[in-house]
Amino acid sequence: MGATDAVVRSGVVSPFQASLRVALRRMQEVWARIRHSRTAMVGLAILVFFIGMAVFAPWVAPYGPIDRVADTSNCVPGVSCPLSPPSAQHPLGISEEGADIYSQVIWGSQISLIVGIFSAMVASVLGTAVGLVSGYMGGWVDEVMMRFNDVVLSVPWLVLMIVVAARIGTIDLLGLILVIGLTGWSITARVIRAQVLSVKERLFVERARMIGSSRSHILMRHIFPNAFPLIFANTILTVAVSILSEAVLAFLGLSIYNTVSWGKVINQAIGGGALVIGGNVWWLIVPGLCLVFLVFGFYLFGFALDEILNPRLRRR
Amino acid sequence: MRAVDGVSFDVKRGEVFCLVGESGCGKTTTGKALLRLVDATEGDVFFELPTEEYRRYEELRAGRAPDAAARIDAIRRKYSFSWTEQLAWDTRQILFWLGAVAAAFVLGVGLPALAAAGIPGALVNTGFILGASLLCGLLLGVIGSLPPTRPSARTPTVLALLSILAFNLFPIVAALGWPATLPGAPFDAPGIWATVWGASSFAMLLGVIVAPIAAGAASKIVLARRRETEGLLGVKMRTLRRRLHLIFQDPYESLNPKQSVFEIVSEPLVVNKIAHDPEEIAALVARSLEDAGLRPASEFVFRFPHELSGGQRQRVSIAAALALEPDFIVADEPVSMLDVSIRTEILQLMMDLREKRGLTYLFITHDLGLAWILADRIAVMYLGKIVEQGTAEQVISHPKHPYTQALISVVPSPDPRHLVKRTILKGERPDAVNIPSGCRFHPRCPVAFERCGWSADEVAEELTSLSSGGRLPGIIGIEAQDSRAVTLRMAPGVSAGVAAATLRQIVSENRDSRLALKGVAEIRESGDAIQVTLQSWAEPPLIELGPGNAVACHLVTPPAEAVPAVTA
Amino acid sequence: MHAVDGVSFDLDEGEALGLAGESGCGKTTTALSLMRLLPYNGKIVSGSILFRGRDLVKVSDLRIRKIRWKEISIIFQGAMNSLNPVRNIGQQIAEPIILHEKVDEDEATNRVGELLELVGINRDRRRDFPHEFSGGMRQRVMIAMALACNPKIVIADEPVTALDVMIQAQILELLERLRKELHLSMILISHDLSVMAETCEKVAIMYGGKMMEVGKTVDVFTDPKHPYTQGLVAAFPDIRGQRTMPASIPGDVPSLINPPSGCVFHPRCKFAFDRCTAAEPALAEVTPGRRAACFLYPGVPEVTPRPMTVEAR
Repeated sequence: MGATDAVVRSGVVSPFQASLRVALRRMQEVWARIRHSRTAMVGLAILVFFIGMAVFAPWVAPYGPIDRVADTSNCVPGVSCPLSPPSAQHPLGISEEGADIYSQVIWGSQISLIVGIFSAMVASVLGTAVGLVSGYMGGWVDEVMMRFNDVVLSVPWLVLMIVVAARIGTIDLLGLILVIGLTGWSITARVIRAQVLSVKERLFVERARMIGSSRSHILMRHIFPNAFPLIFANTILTVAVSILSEAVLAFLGLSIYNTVSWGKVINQAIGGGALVIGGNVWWLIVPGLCLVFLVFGFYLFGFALDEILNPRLRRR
Repeated sequence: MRAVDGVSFDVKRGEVFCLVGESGCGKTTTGKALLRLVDATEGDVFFELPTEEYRRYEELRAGRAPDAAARIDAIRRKYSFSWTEQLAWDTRQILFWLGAVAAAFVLGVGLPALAAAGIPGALVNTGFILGASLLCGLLLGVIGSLPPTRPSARTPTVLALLSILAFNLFPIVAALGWPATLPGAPFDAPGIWATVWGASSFAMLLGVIVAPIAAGAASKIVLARRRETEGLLGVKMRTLRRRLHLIFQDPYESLNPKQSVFEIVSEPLVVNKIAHDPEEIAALVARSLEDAGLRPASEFVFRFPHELSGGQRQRVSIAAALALEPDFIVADEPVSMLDVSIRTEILQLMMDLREKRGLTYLFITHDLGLAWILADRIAVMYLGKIVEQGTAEQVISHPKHPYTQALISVVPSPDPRHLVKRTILKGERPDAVNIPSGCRFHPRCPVAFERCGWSADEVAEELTSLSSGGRLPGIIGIEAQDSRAVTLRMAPGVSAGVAAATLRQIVSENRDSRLALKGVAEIRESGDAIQVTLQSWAEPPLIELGPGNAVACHLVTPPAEAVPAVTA
Repeated sequence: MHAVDGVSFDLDEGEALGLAGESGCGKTTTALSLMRLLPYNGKIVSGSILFRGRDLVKVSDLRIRKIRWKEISIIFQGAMNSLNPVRNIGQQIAEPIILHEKVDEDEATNRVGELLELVGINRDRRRDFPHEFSGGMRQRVMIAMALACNPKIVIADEPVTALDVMIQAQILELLERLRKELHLSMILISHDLSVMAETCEKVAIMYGGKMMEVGKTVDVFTDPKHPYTQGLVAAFPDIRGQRTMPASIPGDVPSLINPPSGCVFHPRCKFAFDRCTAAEPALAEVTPGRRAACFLYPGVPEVTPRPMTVEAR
């Protein structure tokens, strides 16, 4: 039949290939729209900058994150001795333990980004799963899950994190990621559930039921893809929150022991007298600004992406 | 609240049947109930019912044969969608279930204990517990599917999970360190129990997975056997969905914006496992798209809904429906959201498909003009009831029901030369929660009379409006007594007799302009009040006037008894 | 992008004019321009709107605000669904009265009561909220609002589209009665030619932002001159006519960003010939009282191409 030949000839042989081509087209569309949005590009630029900082840290930072720059015996006062102010060789000064603060800031980006991104992924996956199942199944499943969610939500998150973190003992990367991830999923679950509830009522879901789709098919092929834009944008914003959570934990002293994060630097800065008159105020300000800008970058990109992916303009 | 009540019609193979009515008349709900997208609380939807069986069904329903119910059920079981076996568990089943759980418990706990005592090795424990889970699941699956229970695979799965939990409870409790000794056990140290459990925790995990699968498999087998022997149609709903289809009104919302046209059209095939071979799927998709008028198919296959026009989207919906090769399509206002110049194309397509593929259509529309040109037969609905039914000629050219007549008279024509006398009804369709008594149309009917269903509230309201216009001097209180009477109280000093006479006069003068007054049967003085009794009424049944032509109106099919009218 | 181009019609006192066309043909934009209510990215590039001797295009912003609602008012499309849900309808109808007429509350309340009775709603319902009314009643509220300041012209944009056919008849009857009682002029915008056939004396058919035909309704519908009008009239099923499938016009509505060259209808026109691709016909008189924009009729001139003053992005 002529028609079949045409479809086959156009390169489509399997539904899998078809889906791939379709997915590619969709991504191209989204990328084009990102390029057009000023907000998205600014956010993206910021993110690229910090990701570059993290990736190239070993080559960009002059020293390691906790390396003593010089021995106590032969350090130059005011330049390389602990608690030295900014100088030509050490643009941000030396910390109390003798490390170069400039390098610490550069290395710190790694931890902030890794912990932020991975814990956000943990929280997002968990929250999305709960939200999808809860929203779609409804009934007692929904009730039980939401009450559990309420319990997690109502526990003061900071206290919970501190308790869990303290209980674990020595904090390593995985521990930090898990702690932040496992306490941060509740809001995502609520948001996704709300979206699922609204998508569930849409006409094409009814039509999918009518042609005999099973519930899992509807959940995966109809509900999830339509909730995905929200999930993705939400994840990015969760990353911002996770970065801040990590900073807070580190600031309170619960931080990774074998390297630094910005929170830890700020913690040490306060401890090292940065706020005292005559102290090294840049020790505090620079990592703080880095945190702010990184979070800002995520927020910008996240908001812009939300606008792009959300079908707010329904073309009629 | 009964949105649709007492609707009964049949659609012959290959015809176009139009269900017409204004918004809120229940036509969409009826259409959806046909396909069981919405559950009907009562009544049957028969599919491919042979004529003799239908006749038998009607006879059984009308007559009073003693075994009528059982025989009707037999017909229902074979041909009706809405048949479900709704039966409760009896004691025998419950005991059976308890026995099975007990057996599984003993096996799941006792055997590992014995094993720990004599036979070393977690492997044996694993085997025992796995076996216990399998057995438990199978038993429960079979029990769950036996008559007289509801045919469903879910119940045994849940039961299996619960019993897994139950027979793991004991070792869990032991592992937590609480004193837990079986009376007479060869050992009583909680620690050993904990070891036993710990060693077979892997087996438990497997058991949790194995038992529901076993339960599901067992129940499927039992159900299949039952289906063969009893021929339950109600259970086959999912397979039947292939042959029945609904086309939605909104071409924008009925397509998933994240799916390409290919995915949308191939979904019914994939979901119903009709075609597995990718080439076959592609071929079927291409054929459906071309049949729906989207040529060449390759140009549309990778587009998304937002890249298509309204007409094209509706064609995609039709193509997706065609992919399943259905017999019967319910089309719910398929063109009302499209531009006028492309409506005809879509309708023409649907009619062509009817010829090419032998489809039968149920068109749901509010547009009488469309019904006029498309339908073989039409049923007009008002507030959940069919008021008139017949061929298009009968209903549109010679309407008999007052509502149909009014509706047709107000449909505008694009030809300004057609001057018609329009019967514009007053008021609006009442809410579905306030369905009028008797004939549902009577409050707005221009020719309603005594038997149509005037309620005490309506008559009281009419009398109140007369009174506030000063036409009933001396009457101060008008109250609806119950559903059949209205009481009026006089002002002090006014005699009941005189007031009653005035009332009679007013009523007989105004009954042609204020139709509610036709509901008054008798005006009597009782003590110092006036009692107004109302006419008895009945809801007009759908009565056949000729072959296939039926109307539900007392005017057309007058009831037997003579109706008394109030005269002065 | 020219949303509307080459539109020209006149409206006499007490007359009802219908603006007909399918979605995207520019009828709503035309109506909004009459009151200079175009959105921020729209502009009246050229032309004039003569109302009682004044050109509304050139009039100052202050003046036009005085004219809006007092002289010309509009019932927006789907407005019955845009009533403020947290204020009762009495307040909403009173709002333009208070703004324009500078009367006190009591008088405004009186006027609201009068208006409600005029449109067939019980006065006492003025304290009710929009959600307590059905669709048809809400449309009556919108009509009351439009009449609040006694305008001379009422523009009704798809006033009966979302309503049942019986309610549609009620509303049209109401508009007809109001037109006669209050000596209103009306511009009725709709895609439904049947509605227009019933209510309007004159009708103008629009397509792709241009006006295709203007004339008396009876004449235009019984003897359409423009091929598009012919196709459109034939596309409506007639419940009092034959039981035949109505005609359709093959093709799709034109994109206004990339309009076809020459006559905007030529890609779908079965009478198109080479002149139609090359030049655009202007709206000109083809028979007395009838204007059409089609080269099929001798004496129809071409439109002088206008440069785009607003650049398309």
